[in-house]
Amino acid sequence: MHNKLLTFLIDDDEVFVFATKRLIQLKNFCKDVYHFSTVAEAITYFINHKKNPDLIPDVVFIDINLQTETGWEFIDHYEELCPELVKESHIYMLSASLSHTDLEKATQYPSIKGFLEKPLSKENLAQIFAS
Amino acid sequence: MRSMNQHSNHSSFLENEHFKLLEQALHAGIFQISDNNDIVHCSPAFYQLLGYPNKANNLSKSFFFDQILYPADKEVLLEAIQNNFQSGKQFLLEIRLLHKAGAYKWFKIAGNTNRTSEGPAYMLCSIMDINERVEQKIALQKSEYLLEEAGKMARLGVWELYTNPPLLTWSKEVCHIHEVPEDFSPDLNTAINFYSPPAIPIIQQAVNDALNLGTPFDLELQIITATQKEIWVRAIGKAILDIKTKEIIGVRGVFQDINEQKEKQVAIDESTKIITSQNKRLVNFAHIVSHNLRAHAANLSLSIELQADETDPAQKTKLQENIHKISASLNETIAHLTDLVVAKTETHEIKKRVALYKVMKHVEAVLQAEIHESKATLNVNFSKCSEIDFVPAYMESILLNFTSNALKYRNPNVPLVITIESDVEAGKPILKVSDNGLGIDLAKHGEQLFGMYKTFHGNPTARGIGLFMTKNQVESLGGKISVESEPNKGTVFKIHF
Repeated sequence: MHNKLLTFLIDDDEVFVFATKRLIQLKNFCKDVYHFSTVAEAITYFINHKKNPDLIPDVVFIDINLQTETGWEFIDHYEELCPELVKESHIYMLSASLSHTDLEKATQYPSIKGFLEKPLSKENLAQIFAS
Repeated sequence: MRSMNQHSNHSSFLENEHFKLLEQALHAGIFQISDNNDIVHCSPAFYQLLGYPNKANNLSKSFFFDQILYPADKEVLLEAIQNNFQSGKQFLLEIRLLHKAGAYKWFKIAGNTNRTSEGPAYMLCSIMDINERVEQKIALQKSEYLLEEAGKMARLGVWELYTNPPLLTWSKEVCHIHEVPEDFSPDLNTAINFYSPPAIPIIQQAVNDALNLGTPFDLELQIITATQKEIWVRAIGKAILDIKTKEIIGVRGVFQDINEQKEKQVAIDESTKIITSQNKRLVNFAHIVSHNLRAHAANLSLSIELQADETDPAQKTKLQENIHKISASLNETIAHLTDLVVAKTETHEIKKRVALYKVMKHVEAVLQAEIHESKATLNVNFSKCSEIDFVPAYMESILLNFTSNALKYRNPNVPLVITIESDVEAGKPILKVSDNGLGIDLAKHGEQLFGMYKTFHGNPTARGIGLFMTKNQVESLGGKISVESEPNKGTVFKIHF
């Protein structure tokens, strides 16, 4: 169960980030959780640590609606960067309300492993970290 | 007249063979009357024309004038006969006579007195059947009348253009549409010059093509009438072919004033556009409502789930704080929704004359702290139009929103200058709010600019509701908002009332 070491939460909703991070810690799903509130911060991190397998996350949760940008912008940057990365991350898109157009769009990105509706329950998280 | 008696035996000439031939060739009936004799001598053809093939000879004057002649025509005919007897003045009248079939038919009647040296002897009259022609004429008049009335009603007339010799004719209604007298007779150039400058080459080409190639046309163009009104017309034209040679000898067509329809169409298109955009925003609104409420609900259930598992007291306190935050956010979202629902339904608000300087003074007072803090310069100039008819509360919210928007999105490296001015464009008042702030990349965000909860600069005080509200208020009163902006140069919002 502890094969996953590092998780990223890219979201600007502080309440959500706080609770989800704590839930992952309490249930011991993962060793570390890093939080980013903008796409730029997250991408800069990937660029800086692209060759270090210990610092590239195993799982990334990214919210589709950020204050100034969208989750899609992160995916575009990530897929561009992907060939240079030492390992691949499992990326999950998050949204409080799933729209049909967003689900459809997600299928066009090979890097997206899943699309999840908020909140993430213990059961959801257990499944994701077990896979 | 005394002497007429002596000549009454002259009726026998009606039996003359030459006369009969002539009568048949002309398809005319002849009768003879004298002043002092009650007998009317009639030729066989006279009877035939009235539907009695075998009847011959005579009838009484009173029978002719009272039974056969149409009552309303009696006076005119008697007077003409009298005149002729006295002065020899010939007559030619159109009268109605009773046909055997029971209906009156139209005849042309001509008469003249045979005079001897002793004075008038007898009178010979001829009648010719003109029933078909007169009925056609009446029918034609009727349809001309109907056509003219229908044309007036539909503002529709006809025109004809011949090339050799050049001749252009306009029907009355075409003249009315151009606002020229009914006897106006233009040449082709004059007619074409009534069109608005951009339409002239189009109609010119269409007429040329119709004349040279026989191509018909059906155009909607603008003309400028004699009183300088610009109106929309529909001009239809088709080549006229010579009956024998089949060569094109001209063009004829229909001309209609379609200004009212066209203006209605333009108004409908305009309101459809507004309705479509409002509808789009309503869908967006519904989506946002559901998204925000769901986000808060999701956080609430997540926090409560976590609360059950949390053991660390410090973390528990933080969690408690978060639950309060969620509750506050929920309240705020619901308050926004209430504002919007109110704004959407209160379009029946009454417009009043709003003094712009007064409203702006109030806005400046509300924003005093922000204006002071940002050291912004406000140039306010309403000299071109100091009053606008609008809902007062909306006017304040418009000025407040655009001004606070400019303050919020200022460029930290450039001293902020906000210019707020009024003007009149195409007879309607406008407000212009310009700034030298951050600007917006319209190519990227233009579509979402007026959407709810859209902010573009990551500004912590941005609530993303101002422009959405303002646009709704302006559009609910039939106005519109346009925007020009460039990143790092500034933004100009124009509000058309």
